[in-house]
Amino acid sequence: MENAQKSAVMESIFLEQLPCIEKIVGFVSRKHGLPSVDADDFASIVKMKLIENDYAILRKFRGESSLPTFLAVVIAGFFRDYRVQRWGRWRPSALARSYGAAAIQLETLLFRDGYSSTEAIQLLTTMGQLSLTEKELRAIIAKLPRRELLRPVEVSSDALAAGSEETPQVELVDPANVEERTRVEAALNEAVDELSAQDRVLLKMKFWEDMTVADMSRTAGLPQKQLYRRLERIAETMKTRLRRAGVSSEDVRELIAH
Amino acid sequence: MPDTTGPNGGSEVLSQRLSAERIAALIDARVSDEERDAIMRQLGESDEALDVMLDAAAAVAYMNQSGVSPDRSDEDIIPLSLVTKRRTRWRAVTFVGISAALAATALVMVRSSRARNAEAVGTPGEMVAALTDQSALPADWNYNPWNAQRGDPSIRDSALYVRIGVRAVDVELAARAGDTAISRLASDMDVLLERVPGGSAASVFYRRVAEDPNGAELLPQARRALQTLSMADLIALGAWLETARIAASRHDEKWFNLAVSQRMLRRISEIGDSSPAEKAATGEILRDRSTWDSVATSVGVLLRRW
Repeated sequence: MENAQKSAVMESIFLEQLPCIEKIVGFVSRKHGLPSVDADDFASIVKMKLIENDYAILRKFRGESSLPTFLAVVIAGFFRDYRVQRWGRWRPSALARSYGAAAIQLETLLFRDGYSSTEAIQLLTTMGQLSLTEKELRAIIAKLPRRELLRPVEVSSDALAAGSEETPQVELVDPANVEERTRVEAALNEAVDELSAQDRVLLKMKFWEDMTVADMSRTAGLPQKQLYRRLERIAETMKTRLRRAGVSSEDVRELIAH
Repeated sequence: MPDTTGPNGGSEVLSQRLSAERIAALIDARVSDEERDAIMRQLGESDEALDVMLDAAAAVAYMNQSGVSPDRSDEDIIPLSLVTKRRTRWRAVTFVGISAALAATALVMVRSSRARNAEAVGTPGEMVAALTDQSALPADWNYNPWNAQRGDPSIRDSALYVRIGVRAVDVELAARAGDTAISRLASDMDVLLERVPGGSAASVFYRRVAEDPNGAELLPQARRALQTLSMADLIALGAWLETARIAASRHDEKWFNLAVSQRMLRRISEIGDSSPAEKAATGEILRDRSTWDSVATSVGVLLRRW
């Protein structure tokens, strides 16, 4: 096929898939709590990358999956690159993941972006993506492990003069709580690492991503019945390991609560 | 430009061993048992790759639930690289599907091209190509000949489409003339396109034109993306008005006598809510054309409305 004709075909495929691309980008941006300015920036980068080198990415697609799924993987990969480029090797903690989307977004706002806890809660409640109350969000913050801020936070001169500006980790400076959460995070990471590679994937699919057993069954290639049993076994193993590491029963229940 | 895109789908996160397509095949359950076990093992050893898979799987589940994703039949698998030997039955089906898709695409392109010629709607590129003098616009050219300026809340959506047509002509002429103003004009297009529904694809191309020194090479794609927008009539109107303004400034009698110009003028004269001044301006261009100054003034009257 002539190059010009190939380019025209690629271009028409790109345009045809554009609504799907935008949906995936929107989903990934929301999932990771990107502010709208960053989400727009990310959307532009995705489109640029897809058309780069005469649609090289689309041309390399061999048809081993559906095109929307391939695009979803490609865009998820772009998001990782974007995140590293913007914020370095930032990843949500295992604890935040265990507590779900709200915890991930809170942790990100607090420790990656340097917001105070009040600002982070305000942002999440005004964005309207979460149905949790301020009290519930504060309870989640209290459960997050202490992390170093990714970069220095700019503080206004007015705030410096007033000397009372709330700092990002205001609720997290209770030393006993900080120590406890750090210990739970370490125990959780250790317990996950001790699982077999496949069990780690299944655990994260179920307990971190809330994937349905039906979707998991398709991806993992395991019959649903068998998958249920395996998930139960993984949950029991995790509970035993966490308890052995001295994690409180309440924390264990919350972490493996699905 | 060298193609550095590997099997990782352009992402630096995924490794050569675990390509984007293998992960996608896993999510779609299109791998053998052995392959699945191998991929799952690799995912379990790479947090980054696992994160990518989990995000993608969640996105796919979301699209399936919301009915966004096209039906996952083999027909939507496009044969973008035919170099791989097809070993399984579904891959053979894919090949047939791809050939059919290519043939269908080519047919649609030929048909739409014929339709374009038959209707001679006049794209910005075609209108500029018909100008006798295709040199760059003078430095003192008024690029914003309308009353309401950008940011003014009184600008209607229809005005945006007309302005897109106007600016598309400016970009086309700058490209033909090798005018460095193309960067600023294409950037302006990018901003305008971002404000209309479905304009983001075209805006991406124009942004590249604006930012990349060799960006003008992307103009053919930009033109095609522009044609996918709704309100094509308004874009064509804007393109015609701007080209008419340029033609009037260059005393281009031949351009005004083109069938496409005459047809557009008749369409303009049929617009119901034209003011008396606009009707008079249309008549001047369509019939009288007493002096080039009066033609330029009349085009200006029609353009200011937007």
